[in-house]
Amino acid sequence: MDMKRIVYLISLGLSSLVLNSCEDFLDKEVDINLTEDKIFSDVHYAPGFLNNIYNDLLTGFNRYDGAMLACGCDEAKNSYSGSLVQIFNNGAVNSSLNPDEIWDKMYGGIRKTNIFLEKLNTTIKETNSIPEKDRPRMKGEAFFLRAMFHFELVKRYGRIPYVDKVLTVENAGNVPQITFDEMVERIVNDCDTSFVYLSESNDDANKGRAVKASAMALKSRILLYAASPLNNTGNDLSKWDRAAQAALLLLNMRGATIGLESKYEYVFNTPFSKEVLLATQPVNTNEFEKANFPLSYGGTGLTNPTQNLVDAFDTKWGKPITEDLNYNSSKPYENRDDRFYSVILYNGAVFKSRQVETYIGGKDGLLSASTATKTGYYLKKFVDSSVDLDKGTTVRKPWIIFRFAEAYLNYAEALNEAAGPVQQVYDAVYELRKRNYVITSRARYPAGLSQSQMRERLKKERQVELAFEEHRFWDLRRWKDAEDILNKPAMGMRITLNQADTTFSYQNFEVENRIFNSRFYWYPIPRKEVLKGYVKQNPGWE
Amino acid sequence: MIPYMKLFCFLLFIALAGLNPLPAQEISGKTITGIVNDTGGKPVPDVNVSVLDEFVQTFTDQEGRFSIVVSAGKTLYFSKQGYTAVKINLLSGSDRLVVTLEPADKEKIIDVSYGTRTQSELTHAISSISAGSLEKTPVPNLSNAIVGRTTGLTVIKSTGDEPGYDNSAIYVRGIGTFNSYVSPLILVDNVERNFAQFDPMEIESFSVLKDAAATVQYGIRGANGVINVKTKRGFTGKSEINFIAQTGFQAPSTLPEYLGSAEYVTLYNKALRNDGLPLPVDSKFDPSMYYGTGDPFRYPDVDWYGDFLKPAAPQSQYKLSLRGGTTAIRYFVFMGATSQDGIYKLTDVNPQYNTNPKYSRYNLRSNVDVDVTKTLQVFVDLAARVENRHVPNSSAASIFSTLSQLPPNAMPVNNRDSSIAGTSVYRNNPLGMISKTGYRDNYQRIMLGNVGATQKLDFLLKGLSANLMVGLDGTNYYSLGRSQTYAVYQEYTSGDSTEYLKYGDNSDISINTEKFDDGFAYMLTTLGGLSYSLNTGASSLSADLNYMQSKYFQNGDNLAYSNQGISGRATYGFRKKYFTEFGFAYNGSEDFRKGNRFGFFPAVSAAWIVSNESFLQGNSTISFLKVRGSYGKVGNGKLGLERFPFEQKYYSGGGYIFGSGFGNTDGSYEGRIPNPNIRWEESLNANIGIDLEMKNILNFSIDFFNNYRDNIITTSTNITPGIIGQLLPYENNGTVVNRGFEAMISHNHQKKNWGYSIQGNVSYACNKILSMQEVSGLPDYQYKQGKSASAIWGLEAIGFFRDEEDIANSPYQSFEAVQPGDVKFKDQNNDNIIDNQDQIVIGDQIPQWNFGLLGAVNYKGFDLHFVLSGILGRTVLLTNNSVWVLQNNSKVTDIAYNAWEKGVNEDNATYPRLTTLNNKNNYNNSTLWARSGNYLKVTNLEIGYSLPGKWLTKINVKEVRLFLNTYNLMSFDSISEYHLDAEVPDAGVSGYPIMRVYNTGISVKF
Repeated sequence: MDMKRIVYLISLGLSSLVLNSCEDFLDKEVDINLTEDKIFSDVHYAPGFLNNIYNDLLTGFNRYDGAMLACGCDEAKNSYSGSLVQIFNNGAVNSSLNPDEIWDKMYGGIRKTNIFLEKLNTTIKETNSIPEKDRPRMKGEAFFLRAMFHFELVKRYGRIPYVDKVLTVENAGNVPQITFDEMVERIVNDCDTSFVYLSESNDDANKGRAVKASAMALKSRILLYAASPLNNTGNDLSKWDRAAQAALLLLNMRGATIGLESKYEYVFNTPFSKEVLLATQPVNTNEFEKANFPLSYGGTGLTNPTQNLVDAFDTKWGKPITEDLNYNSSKPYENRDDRFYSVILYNGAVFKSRQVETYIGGKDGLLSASTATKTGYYLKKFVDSSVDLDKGTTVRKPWIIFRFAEAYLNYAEALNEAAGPVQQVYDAVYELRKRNYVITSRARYPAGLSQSQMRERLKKERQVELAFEEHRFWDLRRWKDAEDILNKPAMGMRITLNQADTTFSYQNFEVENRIFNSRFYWYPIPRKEVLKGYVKQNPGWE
Repeated sequence: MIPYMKLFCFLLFIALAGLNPLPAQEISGKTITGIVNDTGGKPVPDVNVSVLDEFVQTFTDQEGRFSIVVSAGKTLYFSKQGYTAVKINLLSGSDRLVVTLEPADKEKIIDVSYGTRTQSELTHAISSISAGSLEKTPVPNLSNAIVGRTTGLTVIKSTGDEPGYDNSAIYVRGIGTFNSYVSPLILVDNVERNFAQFDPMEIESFSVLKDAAATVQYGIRGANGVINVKTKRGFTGKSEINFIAQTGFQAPSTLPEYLGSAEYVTLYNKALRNDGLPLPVDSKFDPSMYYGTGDPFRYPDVDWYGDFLKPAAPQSQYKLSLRGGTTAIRYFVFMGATSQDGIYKLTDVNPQYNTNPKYSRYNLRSNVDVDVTKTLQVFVDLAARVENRHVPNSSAASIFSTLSQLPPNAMPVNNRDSSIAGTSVYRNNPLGMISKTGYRDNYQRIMLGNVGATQKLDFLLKGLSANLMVGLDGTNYYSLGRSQTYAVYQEYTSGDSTEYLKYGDNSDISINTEKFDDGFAYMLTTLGGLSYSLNTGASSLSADLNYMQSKYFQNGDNLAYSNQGISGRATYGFRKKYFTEFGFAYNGSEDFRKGNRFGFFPAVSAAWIVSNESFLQGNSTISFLKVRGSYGKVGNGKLGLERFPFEQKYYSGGGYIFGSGFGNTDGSYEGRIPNPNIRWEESLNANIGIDLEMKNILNFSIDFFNNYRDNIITTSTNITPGIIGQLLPYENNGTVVNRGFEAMISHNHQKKNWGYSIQGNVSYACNKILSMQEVSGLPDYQYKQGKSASAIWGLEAIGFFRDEEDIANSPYQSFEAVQPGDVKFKDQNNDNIIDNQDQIVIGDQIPQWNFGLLGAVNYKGFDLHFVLSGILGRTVLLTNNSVWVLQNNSKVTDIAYNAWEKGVNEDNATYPRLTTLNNKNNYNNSTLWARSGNYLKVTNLEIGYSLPGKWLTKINVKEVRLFLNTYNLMSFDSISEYHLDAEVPDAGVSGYPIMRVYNTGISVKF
């Protein structure tokens, strides 16, 4: 083989290799990847990063397969027998099976707030991707959201790590698990910081963002929780006092943009109502109606209020049904507190221009189909009767996280504990109750209640006013009432039609037995996290 | 469409029947005549006789005679498949020639990656399916036809057989990773393509490349095994025309059988009593209403399957192929039309449109080889395929889920006033789903093209050649449809008045068609290289060097999938006894960081042909014996995970509604934490094999393998605190070992009038996870490490609770309050609580064992072929409506009679107490619902009769064969008592059934 041939051969071999052999062939034809720097130097994406964090706020319309958290306590029963929410009622929750597991989601939200706060001082500032005038408000929002996510965690798990920096795989294990009280201080700190920076109120374009009152509402709620028996075993009155002060500050923010609606039902169908201090985004949906319309109206009829809740509504004379001689147990749904008609769909209630039939054999009668009512009631609150499920129409449906009414209840409760049933306690409750009564004087509690009588009244007031708003579930825990109340059966009403005179007869019955184990005052920390060794399990769940 | 196709095929058939080979052209020169004999002196018909460098040719007749006009000085060329071609120079000599053709070297040529090797020099583990046998299966989808036919292949249906949507899942040597991407690389004519919708008649060979020596040429894509399909090509010889027409029908292999209204109501009431619930006041739940002549609208007893499913649906296939060529041009042309109907009834009750599912496919192919010069060969392969699928707008899954749910007494099909019936609970009516939700047509247009050339470079180096090929595939797909909604009505009687409650909405069929999934895809592949072979008698050398690049783009996906690399191999043989090969690939994928994209994958292999040693030479029984071994590294760069895991990821979107205008604002968010150094999975594969041929007795082949897959993608999710708040980076941190063996044995026996052949094969593969970043300190049984990557986890059921005392004395079962008759589970960790920590491995999704038995018998004109296939070591969980009776408002099969019942059935119950509620305890994944998923199927059976040859020669026809065949004729398994198919237990319950095909046809060859 001569030299010429060899050269030819080698060049041929090489040319086939270099045909297209530079590595560029494997490059993307267009680099569509967004990096951290691109995001935070962009005038749309940088503020968009904060907007996105709001998605991590929890919404209570559909916690797990259409069930509300209310079905996990004495407010309601979920009619779908396979619903996971049932395991709150039968004691089956464990550290690897908890339908309300929010650990990852909340710490995900917290990471986002920490990234944003970090970038606010670096890339965003350097590139001016967010105008200087908007930055303080956004800083306030980020601090508020971080406090909110930590609050959602701490009310469930108690002792947890508090995260205020962006973690890496290497250092994530170094964040200590701190006590409930330490958590409260950190959260209150974040609330205070956010309060400084947040807007008083937002312009039209920014409606729905956190405002100063949102931060104050969170502070009021966490201080109330911190003062409550579960977390205040020594009944330190200064804790109650601190809670009362926070609630009072919030009450004093009342004004043109903040205050109570004139009617209870308006709160839940007025977008950006002045009573709402923070809510999730008003998405257009009919999922909640699909889940909760009674079956013959095209829904699934999932949330069935219990008799326990129905009995908590006063009569229209402002008295508990057990004390009011005007109350007629053979016509149990007549002459009740106005709120009853906004919350409960009962037998005979007019819904979509016909009467709801929950009597046995009725169109939506008790146990007439697999998800027909199990208690004799359907849910009215939040349900929008204008929705036509057959046609698929939708409505705006924000989930209310804080509303102004809570301030009156927080204040009254904390003050009653700190100072006894003083006049301001009566006044606060009256302010809240009076919109429910045609004759407003009936809204006033009778004078001369003892501290504990007042306490019982206020507990019931919260149960009724805040029904289905994810308060009862936590209130029973912080009051340490859960062992007593959640070990009682859920009750329902069996209604029979007397064919002869088309009257109804009513009979209370046990829907199901319920179990509450004292370890369930706190959720178990997810097992998958405990195994990693950086957090200790809560007592009773080890 | 099909009738036209039939007509077309018929006309073509007529035209071709009269077609004769071109007569020798009249040109100046003298006429040479002669006869061609084989070495035994017998005349050889159909020998191509051509003049080199001229387009003149003829063929010998039945007596071996030929006559051709040639000008002086030219060379005549005699060739026929199976014989060594002969050249005769006509410089001098007589005008009458006697030519003797010697049989060609019988050494079989094996397709290896990017090339061929002779059988003896092959050092790889490759198993193959011969083309002809695939033609004997009547299923249109080829992925269903390959089952049982060769070793190293696991083929299991993943869904039922809805026309056009019936792919099987394919694994080579089981699976070797716990990640989701476990499919082999599938190539057709060297380009990554799916073969499933090819016609079997297009296929020449189907090889499974198993060990590292065979797959190393694909480097980063080779670790899951490779399937290498080659289409048919032309040959030098008289045209072969083959026409096949076949038609048949498909019927569900099995369908669940449900109880009627009286039995349903009785059992339903029993379940209510178990639940402590009051019995319904409605007389619909009184079984006696169904004994006699109850009002059928008030007390229906509907057989939903019977009312909506036909017993069988037709299918048909027409195919025509033309194959032949001259020394200069060789061709293979194919066209085929296939159609399959669905089994729904009442698809035409809506006068506006018909929703009968229909799959039609048209395949067209033309493979042409041209010798442009003595040293340059060019090929042009063009294929086109049209796939049309017509379906109702309600999916098969939703229709079957409804059929399997609706109790017989739920409602009539139509109400008294002929409206479509429904209830508040059952808002779907199959009648509405089939006839009133609209329809959809899915269209796919596929063009496949390979164009290439091979240039011999003997002038540079004897035995050297260069080749270049470009493959271009284009797919266009879209769906057109119209939709409609329907309302159902529930009769509601109170007192004397009857009213209808309405659920849903009646809408008209949409006026405009809607277009969905509108898109296209293309694949551009370039392949070029050099190959060299040298044979000096004592030693031989074959070597290849190849460059490959490919880009696949599909709209909807943002970025193209690209592959690039070089590969090569050199095989050295010494004295036809010792062969050794080194192969390598250096290739990469776009999924990894620049500078970290390419991997080097080497493999070495060797073979020793023991039978060529002197001590075995001339041995009367052992005619061939080879021992092979290989070891090498291959990769898996397709991860089935997020793409580009090396780069920091932020995304736009995820905004939020702010402002009184309810406008959605901008959003952006962080994605998974990147790992810049992420790489592909690597597998170290070892293989040892033996090939043995015993003259006239048997062929036998066995392979043992050990694949060690390392660098499997994991995340540290089990270790890193969740408070980090983000998805954790992918890491190369897992290890799986996959071991097994394959064996194949075959035997042929052919006498004058009759003969038979039989082949049996067995494949075993068993994998084990060695590491995958799990926390320490768990009890052994909780680790995935040490278990199979396809393990099924669940609780161990140990019976049913006898009574309250039994419950009190047993560990607390945490899923739901239990009562007597509920399932009792074993407390694996003895913590007195039954929860998910007590889950153990209760089976495996992928079978360890695959078997096949193929046979053929011929006697005179009759022939019979069969394929049996079977699997072992697979578990299925029975969790569908036909087994979980009364769950989710569903109906009841007779399995309910085995339910635990106090005082009746306490000791021999095999089913927990009946319940109407969704019981979280009993319906946990557990051994109670696990069944053996093993089966043995009569996959394929064909009986044929060929008309005697003497009748045919007169009409110029070579062969006429009538045949009758079936697919999936019988199944032997352990769940037939539930009337479910062991291969896909959910088929016919929550999806389309598995079908059995009966088919008959005629094949004509000219």
